[in-house]
Amino acid sequence: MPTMNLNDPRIESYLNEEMSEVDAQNFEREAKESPEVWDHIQFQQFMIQGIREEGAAELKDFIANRITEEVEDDFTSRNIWWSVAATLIILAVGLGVTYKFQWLDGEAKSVVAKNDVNQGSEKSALQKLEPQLSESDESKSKSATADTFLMPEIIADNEESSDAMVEAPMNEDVYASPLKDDARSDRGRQMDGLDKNKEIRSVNVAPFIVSAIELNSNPRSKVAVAENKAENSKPNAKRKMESSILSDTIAGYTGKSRVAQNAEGDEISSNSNSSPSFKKAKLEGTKQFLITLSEQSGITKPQVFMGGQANGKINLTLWNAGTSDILIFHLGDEYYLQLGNDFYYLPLIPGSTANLKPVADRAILEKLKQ
Amino acid sequence: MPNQTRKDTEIVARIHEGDREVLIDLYKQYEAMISNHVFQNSGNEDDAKDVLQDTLVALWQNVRKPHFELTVQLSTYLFAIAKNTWLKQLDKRKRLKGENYITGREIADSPNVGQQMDYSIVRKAMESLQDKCRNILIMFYFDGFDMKTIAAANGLASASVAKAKKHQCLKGLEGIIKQNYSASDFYLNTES
Repeated sequence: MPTMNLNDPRIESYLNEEMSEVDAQNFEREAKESPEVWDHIQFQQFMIQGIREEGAAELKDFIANRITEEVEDDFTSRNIWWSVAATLIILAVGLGVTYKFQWLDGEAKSVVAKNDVNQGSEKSALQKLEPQLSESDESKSKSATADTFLMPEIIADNEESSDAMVEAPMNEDVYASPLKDDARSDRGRQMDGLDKNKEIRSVNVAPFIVSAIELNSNPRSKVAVAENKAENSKPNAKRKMESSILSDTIAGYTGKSRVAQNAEGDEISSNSNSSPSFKKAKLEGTKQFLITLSEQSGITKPQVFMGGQANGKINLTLWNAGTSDILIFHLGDEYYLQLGNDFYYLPLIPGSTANLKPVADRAILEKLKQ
Repeated sequence: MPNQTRKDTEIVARIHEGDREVLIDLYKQYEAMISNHVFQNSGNEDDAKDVLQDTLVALWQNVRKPHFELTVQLSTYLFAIAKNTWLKQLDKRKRLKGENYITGREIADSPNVGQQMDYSIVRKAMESLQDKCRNILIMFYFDGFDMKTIAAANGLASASVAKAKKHQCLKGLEGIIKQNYSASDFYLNTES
């Protein structure tokens, strides 16, 4: 005879697992005697287990979602740092590239400016020289334009080219191509002999060629030099001496002949008695210099750097010359440099930079000033 | 509780308080250990995630039961749950593959024999309940919260009101199920 009904308060305690194990076993035994009560209890247990599964699924969703969020947050924060790092790298590379391009552009402008100067300087030189030429006498003009004494080019005071050349840093990489200008490859070497912390600026005068003037025995060469100086020593006149050759004999042949050459080394006046070996000796004895003017901030004294020799010309870089009115003399065994009105010993030591020492010897000074 | 660390005590206390966030900390802490066990026993990454989640859910349910006492280190306890969970999962897969190495008697004696019933019916029926009813039922039967807490969480006046509401919600769920399903639907088809 079943004694339990659906309103028995123990059913709730059993379903809520609030009974002890012994009480629960006794309750089950009693409840099974009433199929209606037992079916009700089983259905209730079925629903409760379903609710627990729903609760478990909900908690699993919560865990999965929170872990996903954390992973995404980690990923996002990591991405932010990567983005920041990548942005910085891109900026750095961009700045580097920009700087490099500006640098190259500056150098390119410098080269173009030089080329422009080389190509256009004749025109501007002629424009500037026009009044000078009109003032000078005809013979001087002829002498200056003659093969024996080529007219130095005067560089126009072009602001753009000036800026470009001032901004252009000197670097061997930029000058990797030897091009036609031997002075370029010397720039890097020039740097070696100078204080690299100083600001180095090229002067807006293209490299020019100067031939040494022999003073050992030939008065004619001095006359020609004087003419040359008269033509080109105007204040602020910047020039390029393509070639100025009035060569005479080297010391060993003094007095035996007088030979003038043009830029190609062809004799234009020679002693008919001169022998082939003599001619060769004269060519060897005539030194030509390719001069580049540069400035270095913080240094006021003129310095000279002797680079290598190319195409028979010795590369010289003159630092802080203060003038483009430059002549080189060969007297005795020494070479002398005239910068404006000042005379200096010209040491010819390849690969080295040296301060120019003023000539103090009066006898030499007088000879040079003649 | 000689083997229990101070940290374990704090974790159990947080679970008692109903702080679900503690499960996230545990997930990160034991992920490697439990995943390695699953990987070493023919499991893959998804299996490892499932086992981790099931283990934490089981921990939550067990700790929230009245009179729960942690007698070993939490890591040991968790690892035991994880191993058991993965073993059950492997057994289930083998049964589905037809590897009927578990005898009918073993199934009958198994405490999981109730899993033969289709509880998805109840879960589907719960979708038809009001949110408050659903919350009250889950908080009471799954989380094991007392009526006072349930009342506070659901904006009810008192524990007795919450108890009456719970009874009403359970009756509502029963009505939905009986209205939509017959008794034969409550059992899974185990012939396959």
